[in-house]
Amino acid sequence: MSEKIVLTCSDGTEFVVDEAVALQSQTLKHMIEDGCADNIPVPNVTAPILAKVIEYCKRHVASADPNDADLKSFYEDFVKVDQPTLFDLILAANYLDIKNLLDLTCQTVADMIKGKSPEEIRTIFNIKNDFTPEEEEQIRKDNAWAFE
Amino acid sequence: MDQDFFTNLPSENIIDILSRIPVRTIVQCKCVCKSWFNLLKSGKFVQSHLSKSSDGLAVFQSERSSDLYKIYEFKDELDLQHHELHYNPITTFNLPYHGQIEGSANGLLFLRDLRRSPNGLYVCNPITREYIELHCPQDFVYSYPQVVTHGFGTSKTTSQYKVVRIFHDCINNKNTHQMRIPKSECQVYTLGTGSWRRIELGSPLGYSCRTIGAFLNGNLHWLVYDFEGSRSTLVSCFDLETEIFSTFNLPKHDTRSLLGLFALGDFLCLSDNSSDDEIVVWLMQEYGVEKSWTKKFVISRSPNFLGEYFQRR
Repeated sequence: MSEKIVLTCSDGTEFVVDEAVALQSQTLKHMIEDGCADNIPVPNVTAPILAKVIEYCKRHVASADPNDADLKSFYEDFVKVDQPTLFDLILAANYLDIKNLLDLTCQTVADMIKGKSPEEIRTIFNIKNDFTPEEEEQIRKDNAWAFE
Repeated sequence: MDQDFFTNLPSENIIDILSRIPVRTIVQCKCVCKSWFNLLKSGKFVQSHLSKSSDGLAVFQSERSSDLYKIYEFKDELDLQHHELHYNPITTFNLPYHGQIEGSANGLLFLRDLRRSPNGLYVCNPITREYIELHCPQDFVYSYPQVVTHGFGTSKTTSQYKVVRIFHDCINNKNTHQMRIPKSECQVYTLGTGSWRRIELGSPLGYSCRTIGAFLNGNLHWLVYDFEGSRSTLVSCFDLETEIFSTFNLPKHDTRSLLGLFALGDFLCLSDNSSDDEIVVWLMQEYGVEKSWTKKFVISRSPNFLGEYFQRR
């Protein structure tokens, strides 16, 4: 019989998880070790995001073998989400201190940036170009080799 | 309403993401927006990227008409079947001065132009191509048989980049074949300060102008000959934080040895080239513990290489 932990997210929804699942998060691990195990508030995380995080942690408890091909395809599918969700997952993984989830989500964003030009990056992520044309030109000149 | 989600991310996460992308893209990312530009210039980003990036090798190729610097990236694929490795440099560049690469630490290169007197000394970031010239006073001029050697590294706790210059006279008494060092001095240049400071050298030791200090653990190391004391070869160790010299012993070796001192990963190593049949590499298993010198590798020389002196970087 494993211990159950109740996590309450930002809108009050409660999630019941096995202790082993919650222990994937270093933040929760410290709280559990400190004795506040009954009902842990996770106010920074919304219900749908917490549900995804729990799904990740459950899968990880089942098997964390990096050579597991199923695990690899689980990871690939796990990050096939829209940008708001992806960034919310990064924030949640950061707050809950779940290193491999943070690695996975950050790597996913990095893969979206790799090999793209600044214009493409701005388009994909809706980043406003706050340089004047002269400022941008200067940066390109100073680093000409990278733009060849 | 489309939002820029990066604005909600703590900088440490943005740094994490950006340190995973290849160098060329990172440099291009400088012109995405002002906050990215500032982040990519920050010390935190540099440290994060350094810890994640693969090891590189900087090669200086000097030909009569031009000099070229090449940076190669090492990937962790060991293919023992194919010895002729063809690496493509990740970047190739030349700089507006001529300087051979003498040292490297934490992503920066230390270069010396021997064609100028006093020598031109530069510290360069091979990726951004930014460089500074260390201005040397006129009394840095030297000539044979005087010895000048340098070291480049970062101090352990304050992470300041420092260039160390050691100079000494070398007088060989033709009758007795004894060497004497009437004068020796040391200067340190901390990057950002713009000037050289004199440092106490302690007992005079014979350095070699053919080698540069091996950088490891926040210290610089040179092979020195103790003319006036033990009459043996020792390691002279300079702590970049405290700026104090100390010495320690080498494993037993033939006094006529051709020795080389270098840092390999986290260990100080000594290569012994004196034998015709093999090159022996010793490794200091526990840093600073003389008893921990261990004979780590023995490389047998194939007939082609007999008689040549190897220098490993």
